Amino acid sequence: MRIFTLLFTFLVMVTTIAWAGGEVYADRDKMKIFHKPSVMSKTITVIKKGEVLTVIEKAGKFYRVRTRKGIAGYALKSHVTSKKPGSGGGNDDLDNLLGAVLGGGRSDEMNEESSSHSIRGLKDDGRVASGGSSLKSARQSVISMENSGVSASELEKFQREGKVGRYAR
Amino acid sequence: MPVRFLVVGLAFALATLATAPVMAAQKEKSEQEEKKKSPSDLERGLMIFQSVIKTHKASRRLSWKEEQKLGRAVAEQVFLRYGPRSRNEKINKYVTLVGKTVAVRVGKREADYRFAVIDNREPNAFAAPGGFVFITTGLLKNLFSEAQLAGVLAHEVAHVSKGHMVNAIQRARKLEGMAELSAMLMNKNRNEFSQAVGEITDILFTKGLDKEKEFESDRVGVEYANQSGYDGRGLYEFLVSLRKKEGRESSIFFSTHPPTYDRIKKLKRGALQNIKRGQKLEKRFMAMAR
Repeated sequence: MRIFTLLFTFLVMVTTIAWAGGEVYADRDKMKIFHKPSVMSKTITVIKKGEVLTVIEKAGKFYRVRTRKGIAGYALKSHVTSKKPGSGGGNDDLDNLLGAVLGGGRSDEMNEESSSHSIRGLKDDGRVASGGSSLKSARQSVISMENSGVSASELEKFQREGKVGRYAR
Repeated sequence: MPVRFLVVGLAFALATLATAPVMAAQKEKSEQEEKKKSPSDLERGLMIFQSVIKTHKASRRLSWKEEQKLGRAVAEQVFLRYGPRSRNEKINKYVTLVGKTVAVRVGKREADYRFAVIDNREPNAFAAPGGFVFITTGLLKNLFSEAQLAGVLAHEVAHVSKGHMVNAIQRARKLEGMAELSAMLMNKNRNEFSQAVGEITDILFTKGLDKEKEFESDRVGVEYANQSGYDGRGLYEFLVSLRKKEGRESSIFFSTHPPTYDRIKKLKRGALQNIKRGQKLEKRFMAMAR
């Protein structure tokens, strides 16, 4: 009985993590990725069974996902699975899910909260961008953006060559 | 039969008599409570005074540090929605160099402006408080010169320097008599902070800013780019090419900005009247951004 309870708790945890974000797999061949969260919407791309998809957010009966090629769109929840078809899943799956959901590096709780809130708060009005990334990679992008600067000498050379900025006539 | 009716009637009458004092006491009690709840004139005056203080505090502009904190969280949302920062460092550096060149015209905190290219086919550009500016590869493909890129980036820089987004959410709070935004950020109230981030992302992705703010950014953007030595018609040229796509392409750029025709008209009648000749730099743009 105790083992069953533990197993059940584990399954609930895995499902919750998979729903909150992370990676899922196409559960059927020629699976359509839609432009909007509707089966009547334009098909952006078609993917093979077992192809991994990164979940960006939930949208009713759909997940907003990003394919390996970086194409973002909507996949029917009933057409994806948290376990890799044929492989029976495993620890790697769990690691991926945990990695994507928990993110890494920063311990800024306020940003953690704000991110999740804003994902929920975004209006699903069909006018979404055809892109997107996981929370982990979004955070990494902010760090890269803040760290990427140009030196004063680089800027000076650039302006001198283009006759702009300080070198404008 | 009549006896039964009499018994029932008597029981009803007795019950009414018994409950009447209780009901009356309850009524009196609720009236007293109601009296207690409604504020006195003094309390009302105090409430009005507190509201005035709150509104006054809410109108204070955020410090640059506070703006950056808010902007960092908004930037995360932009990447989350539009995809990560491009791994092409050459293009990121090029956009940063052009962006920094126009940001100098702001005259303060220009070193804090950060620029990033996002790998996304949808043509768009954003600015978040604190100097975070983004442009998609989709928009870069629609440009043909460095002057046009400078115009677009200068428009975004103007949104930050004029505090458009922060002002929009502060004004909304002021109208609703809500908590002071800066206090909210400093008190580390997670829910309220995320609410502010949500309000800005809503402006960026759904509602857009007031059209007057967009017109102002167009005008100031032309000035920044032109004063930096670029041909001041860069933004105008981009808008003209964009207008041809309006209605044919679905992009939130169109839904979050005023009609492109109106923007072109405003520029032609306003900012473009006073521009100096400047650099277009088509070749350098093609070599660096394509």
